[in-house]
Amino acid sequence: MSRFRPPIRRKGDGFVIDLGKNETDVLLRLIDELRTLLTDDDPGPAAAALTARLFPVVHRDDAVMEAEYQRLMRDELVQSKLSALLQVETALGGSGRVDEGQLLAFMQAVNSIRLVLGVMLGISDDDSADQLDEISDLAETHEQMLYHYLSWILEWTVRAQTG
Amino acid sequence: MPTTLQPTRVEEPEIDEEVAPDNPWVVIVWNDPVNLMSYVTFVLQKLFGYSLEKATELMLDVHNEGKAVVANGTREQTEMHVFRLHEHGLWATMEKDGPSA
Repeated sequence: MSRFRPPIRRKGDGFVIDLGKNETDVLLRLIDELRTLLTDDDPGPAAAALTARLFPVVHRDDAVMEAEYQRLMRDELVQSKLSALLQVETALGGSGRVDEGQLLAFMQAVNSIRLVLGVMLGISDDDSADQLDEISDLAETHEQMLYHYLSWILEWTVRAQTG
Repeated sequence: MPTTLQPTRVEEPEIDEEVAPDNPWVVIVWNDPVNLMSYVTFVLQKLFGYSLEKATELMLDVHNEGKAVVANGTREQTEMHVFRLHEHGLWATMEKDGPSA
């Protein structure tokens, strides 16, 4: 058995994202699906609910300030998330070598997808998250497998930057 | 009651609980079941320059208490902090410092 190499690791003065082709294809598909959700100008209730977690209410007790904040910042946050997705596509389509900024974009994009999957899977509190972790691998749905895979990837992304 | 002035021990407030009058806004991060504990700790270190110990302490406050004040500042500074936390997917809100914060 060959020595395990972390999927995201430090290399030289940067990092390398070293995923297999199948994993890369899955990630690119998820990125494309998230972009579709983020750029939908007239999402139905179901689609809006999926992305709501990406755009939290900021002023919980002041509707006027909340409206003003969202008017000024919402589009900027959408653009930031779209920019991260584009950077990840570029990196995954190339050699996998990334600098610190690109790895940050990768981390943000992976986490955004996890948050949306979390809504799809009904993870609403720590108990439901624990229940998901207790499901055996064989009984997992496609979305549950993706969620756990992205958690693993994210964990390695953090380790690469802190280790 | 003593008639002479005695040295008085003054308890220093914790830095993260102190809100200067010109920095009346606080950033609150809320617990959520999806964000990884290691990820939240790392983001707090990266965005606010906290040590691993400080960031871990704040992350555990979020996890165990449901929320934690992670920064304070002017309204503009606090809005920027919240925006950057949202870029990273953390559940952050802001409010003027008060009993509920």
